[in-house]
Amino acid sequence: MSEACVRVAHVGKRFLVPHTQRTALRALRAMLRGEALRHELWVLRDVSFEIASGTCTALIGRNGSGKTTLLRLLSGIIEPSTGVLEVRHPPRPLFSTAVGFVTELSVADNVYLFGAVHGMTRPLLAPRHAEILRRAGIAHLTHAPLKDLSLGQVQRLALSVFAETQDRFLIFDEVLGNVDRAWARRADRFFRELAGSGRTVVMTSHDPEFLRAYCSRAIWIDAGGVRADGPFDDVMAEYERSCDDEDAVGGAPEADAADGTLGA
Amino acid sequence: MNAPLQATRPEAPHLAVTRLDATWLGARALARVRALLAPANRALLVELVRTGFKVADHNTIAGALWSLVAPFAMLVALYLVFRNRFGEELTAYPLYLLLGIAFVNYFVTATRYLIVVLHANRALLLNTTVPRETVILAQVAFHGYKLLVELALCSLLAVYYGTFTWSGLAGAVPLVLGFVALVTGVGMLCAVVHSFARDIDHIWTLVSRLLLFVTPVFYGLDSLSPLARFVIYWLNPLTPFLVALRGLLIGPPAHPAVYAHAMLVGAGSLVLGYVAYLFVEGAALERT
Repeated sequence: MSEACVRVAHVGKRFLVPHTQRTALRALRAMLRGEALRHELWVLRDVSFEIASGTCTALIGRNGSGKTTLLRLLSGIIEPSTGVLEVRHPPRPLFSTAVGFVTELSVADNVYLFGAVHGMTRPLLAPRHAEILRRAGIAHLTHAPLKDLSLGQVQRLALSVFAETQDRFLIFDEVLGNVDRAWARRADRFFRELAGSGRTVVMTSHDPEFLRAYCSRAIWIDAGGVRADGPFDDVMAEYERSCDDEDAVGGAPEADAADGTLGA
Repeated sequence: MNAPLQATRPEAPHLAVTRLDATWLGARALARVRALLAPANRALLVELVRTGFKVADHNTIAGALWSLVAPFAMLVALYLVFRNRFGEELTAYPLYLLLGIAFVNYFVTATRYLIVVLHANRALLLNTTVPRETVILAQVAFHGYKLLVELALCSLLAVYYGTFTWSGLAGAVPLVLGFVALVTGVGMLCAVVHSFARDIDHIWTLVSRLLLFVTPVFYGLDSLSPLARFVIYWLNPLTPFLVALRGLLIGPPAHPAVYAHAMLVGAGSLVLGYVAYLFVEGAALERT
């Protein structure tokens, strides 16, 4: 087996949630009375796994189970409250295809801005600029303000720029929400190449077929912990059975984790 | 060759820190500065500042000029109202006024944006690995260009009044950098407080409006009572900067202790603001 790219050992994440809407006066009053301003909310507890270099792993689970929080921890955006989290290569996450753009700027300017936000410099992107726009299918809109583009076009642009990244550890969180079928096929080629490129990929999606196409392994996150971890088809089958069972008894149980805070 | 495994944020502890620890803060600050100096992050800073210019000034020179109209309108208004009261006892009064307006404007504008920087950039900071300090520095730099333009005009006015010296200009450079440090430190401190008490920006708006009157913008310290002079010099962090800078560009030069006082205030604010920011940034960002 190849060496670990990610090592997660007994990681937990706790958020401190304020009791009420925060104002200076309320904070001062609570401090003077010795009242707690916030309460603890554990989103992840005792999560442990390793991910081998060069593999493509799916994180699956319901909304609010803690997937996005775990991805943010892997990315180094937030810090674990307990446990140890180590990575071999700097992670490069793509959580949202809308973040990193400024709608008032032109498409051409946004290529450089979105690239810079994701670690790519102007000299790296400049020679690839025309190809990025062509691949996104919006070469004719180079000078248009980004606000004139549809949601799907913006998403295609984001993925097209992100495809230029040279990083060795990539994280994708539900990134193919609004693209049309034709472009999804083109994205399919990108993800297939990525999966076979020797780079380490972790991705989430609520589309099992999308994940099945690229991932050999799945980790099922449930109520802030790892419920199952193994070959993709086995874990996905177990997850789908669980969803079917809950449908049969009348809906999913309330998630223990970060509903309404930072969880996915 | 493969890199070794390392913590996602090498400078960060894996357990929540509950007390100030100088070693931990030092290591964290050092790692951040190293990250900020990485070529990709320097390039990001340039892109963010460029974006600020393009969006704020509509990517035109006329747009940039319009943003300079407000301080000049204020200069004209203050000059017309106060020239008879203070203008006769203060040398080169228009220059005196413009220096005061430029400094107060920069302080008020930059801190107003910095207070909400974590909240306004929440999506960017929680969904990308962009160093948070880069976003803060981009705000400081973007608003700093107007200060620089106004200070360049002040230098031209100093030439007109015959008070300009190259040594004075050279002395002004560290003073302006110290002032930027003051703004950054205060801004970071307020940004952290804003994450926990959302109404702090309203309070700050009120305080910053008063700044024009409690800073010697249109009056001289000598025209105040000893008590008022003491309060305005020692309790208003902008005053030593203004006194020192006016000494360099208008004369007579301020006592070296004033210059040292200003530099200490700038450096101290930056250190205090950054320590506070580093200590609670995680909680602040998660709760913005």
